[in-house]
Order: sequence, then structure tokens, then C-alpha cells
Amino acid sequence: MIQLFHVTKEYPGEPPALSDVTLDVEKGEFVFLTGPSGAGKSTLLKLIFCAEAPTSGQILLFGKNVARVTAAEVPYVRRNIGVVFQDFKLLPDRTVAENVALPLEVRALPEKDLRRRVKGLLRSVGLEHRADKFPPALSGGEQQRVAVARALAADPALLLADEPTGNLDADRTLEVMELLANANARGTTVLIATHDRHLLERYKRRVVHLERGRLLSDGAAFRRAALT
Amino acid sequence: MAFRPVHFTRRALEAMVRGPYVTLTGTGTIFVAVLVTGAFAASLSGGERLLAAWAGEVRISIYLSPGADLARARAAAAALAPGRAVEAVPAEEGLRRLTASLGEQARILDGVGPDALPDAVEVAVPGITLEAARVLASRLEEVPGAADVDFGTAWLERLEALLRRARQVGLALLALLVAGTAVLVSNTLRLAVFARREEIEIMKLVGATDAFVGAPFLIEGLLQGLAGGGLAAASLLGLHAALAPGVAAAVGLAAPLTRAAVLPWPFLLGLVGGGALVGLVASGLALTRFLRRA
Repeated sequence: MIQLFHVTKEYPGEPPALSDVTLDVEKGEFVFLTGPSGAGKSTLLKLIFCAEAPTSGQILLFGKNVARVTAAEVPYVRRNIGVVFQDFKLLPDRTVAENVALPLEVRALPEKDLRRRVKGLLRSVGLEHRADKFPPALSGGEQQRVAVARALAADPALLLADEPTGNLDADRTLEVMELLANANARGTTVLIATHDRHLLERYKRRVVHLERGRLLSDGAAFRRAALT
Repeated sequence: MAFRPVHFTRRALEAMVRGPYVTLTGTGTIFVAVLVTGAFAASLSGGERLLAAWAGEVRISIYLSPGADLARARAAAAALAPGRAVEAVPAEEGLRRLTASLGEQARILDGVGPDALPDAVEVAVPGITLEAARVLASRLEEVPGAADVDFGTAWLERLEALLRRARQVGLALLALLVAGTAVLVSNTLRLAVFARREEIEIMKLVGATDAFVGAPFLIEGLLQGLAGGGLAAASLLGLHAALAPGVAAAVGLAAPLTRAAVLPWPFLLGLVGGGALVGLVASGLALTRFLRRA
């Protein structure tokens, strides 16, 4: 699903954000990407999301070399990826339902199917009754659930989440994590950047540890043991 | 991307309703720009028409030698200037017209008899150019008995020079105005696009192509341009209805200032279309610059 070979990302005048990272994430995996602030977690997600290009090394996404993806092809690659951010990134002047519908609109889903799908998604995150509200009227936890529903709207093969629970209290964190775990159970590959140790302990999934741009450890062995 | 005009137009209209101030600013900018440009172009056209109408008053006079046959001279002039109004003006009539034109100062002609003036033939040459007047005057010298041909060279030359200068200055100002308008509108719409950068960013996050993101913005620019241009055209019609009668009365010439002459429909449609085009192009430019960075 995702393969990184000796990937380095440098920004002018700064130490490398990522340095010689090699990583392999298989289809259907649930992976935590952890490390302190500045470890390179967000940079790694940006590279996978084609928001930036690596300085050196190679990234294969869905079996395709990202370096060969043209600017015009990027939107089509992104349609297979759902993204969730710490700050939700919802449009404040569109209703909850309209926000969730965005990825479906982009895919030109017929209006009737779109409405049905949005209704189902909102039901799945427990926000059907908030469909006509605007995001600022929602709590942080509710907004993040809307963001998760939007990320999952088009049944993406891959879901990337950058500190998705960073702004939430413990109860809301669990709600959001359950949604992500459920998506993974339905077959979506999930990659979550977080520095919340409690999550790593609670969910006991594969943990990739980054520090100062380097890959310090990869809990792939634990994952394999758990699967067998 | 599938072309979905209804979807994109609906999106554009929704965005315009959601951001009325941005919409009003864009529409207002295009309205002012098109109004000023249109008013300037219409004034220039009206001025040229007035000058041309005054030029239409020009007549070529053929003064005859004493004893020349006036009727024969008239017939010859008519043959040399086909299609023009040719009039025989005997000395008595010439004196009467001169007296009338002098008005209160006609006293200076006291004691002057008709024999002081020659018989003449006058050829009306409305709308003639200086060069054509020269050619015609030279031809009219062949009229039997012609002693002198006067076609008011100085007056025509001054008039032509004035028209030429007015046209040059007008076109230069118009070009300046159009360029200024394009920059102003482009910057205004750039602000509108910038105000919605978050929306653009999120649309791209969910896999929207540049065309999908840009189409509603382009339609918005087009609609704002249509609205601004339409309002400007309507305002020009209002201004014309309010001002033209007064101006026509002041200069004593009404025909060149009718609505059809100063603001013909193709011109008004051109203004509306121009407004729409400015909105579309300015929106496209603003969007291109932004999408390149997004």
C-alpha cells in the first residue's frame, strides 16, 4: 500500500525533516506514527498525501511511484486517501451535511445517492441530528467526527490522520478512535500521527517511532505476532 | 472533470449569497469601471458627432466674375458635384444673407449696394473631409465664369485638427482607463479568492481538480461582470435621458445626441459583454495565481 525507500526531506536552511526513512505499510494495517514535536510525522504524511515531494528517495503509493505522479494526477490519487487533521479543517459556512458531502461532490455522485450516503455517514458517527448545523455550533469532538465522516465519505483505501485527537478530551478521543478503528475493521488502511502514549498503549497496534526525522523503531514485529 | 454547468452555477450563486460583501465589492468595482469607461467612450463619440455635425454646415462658394451667367454656372457646378445641393446665390441674396448673419452689426453695411458683391454658386458639402473638399473645390474652378472658389480651408483644418487630437487623447485615455480597470478588478477579485483560500485548500484536500475548484469562481466572476456591466449600461441610459436634452438645447443640435446615436444597442451590449469578460478574465487571473500556490 505504502512503501518508502530511503526517503529524505529537507527544507532550505533547516536540519532534515526526514532522513533516510524506509517504511512499508501493507493494505489493511493500522499504524501509529509517533514521536515528539518536530520528529517528522506530519512531513511524512504530507509526502504520502502528495502535498510535498521528497528531496531524495522513493515513495510507492498504491504501487505507483509518487515521483511520476503529475500535478494533474494528484487530485485523482487523493481521491483514494481520506485525511483528518487536528484542527478539523471544516468549512464554517457550510452545514455539517455539506461538509461531509464535499468528497462525493468532487466525484460527481448523483444528488440522490449523495444525500443517501451522507445520511448514512452521519448516522455512523452519531451526528444525523446535526446535519443542518454549521461547524462552529458543534463541540470539538463533534467537529472531529464530522471530519472523520468526510474523510471516509468516498470509501478511501487509505486514511491519514494527523493528531486527530490533539484537541479533544479523553472521552471524545475514544469516540474518534473508535470511528477510525471501525474504518480499519472494514478494510481501510489507517495511518495515524500522534504523540499520545495512552492511545498507543490502549490500541496496541503497529507503532512507528520517529525522532529528529529518523526512524528509531518500527513495531512491525509486534503486529505480526498479534496477527498470528 | 465532468462539465456540470448547473452544479457549478449553483455553487457560484451559493457562494455569492454566502459572501455578499465580496460579491458587492466585485460587482461594484466592475460597475464603476464599466460606467466610467462607457461614459467616456459615449462622450467621445457624442463629441465627435457634434463636431461632425458642425462640419456638415460647411459650404463651398464659387464667386463669379462680373457678367458671368449665374444659371449656367449653377448647372455646371451641379454637374461637377453630383449628388450635392447646389444653389445659385445672386448678389442681392448674398448681401441679404450677409446682413442677416451680421445681426446688430449689420449697420456697417449701410450704403453698400448689391453690386459690391459678386454673384455666387454655393455647394453644400455635409460631412466632407478636408481632402475631399480640396479636390471638389479644385474641380469647381472649372465652372464657367468662376473667379474664386472658397471652401473655408482654415475652419475645416482647425476642425479636423481638433477632431484628430480629441480622438488621439480620447483613445489614449480610454486605453489607460481599460488597463487601470483590468488591474483594479483583478486585484478586487484576487481578494475575493484569497478570502476563500481555506475553501480552496479543503476542496483540494478531498481530491478536487483545479478545474473543479476554479469553475464556480469563474462563473462568479462572469456573473459579477454581467451584473456590473448591466448596471453600468442601465445607468448610462439614465444619464443620457437626464443630460442629453440639456446638452442638445445648449449646442443647438439634437440629432447627433439621440440615444441611438450616442448609446447604440451594440455599444450597450458591448459594455455588458465587456463587463462579463473583465469579470471572467480577472477572476481567472486571480485564481491562476492562487492555485499555483495552493
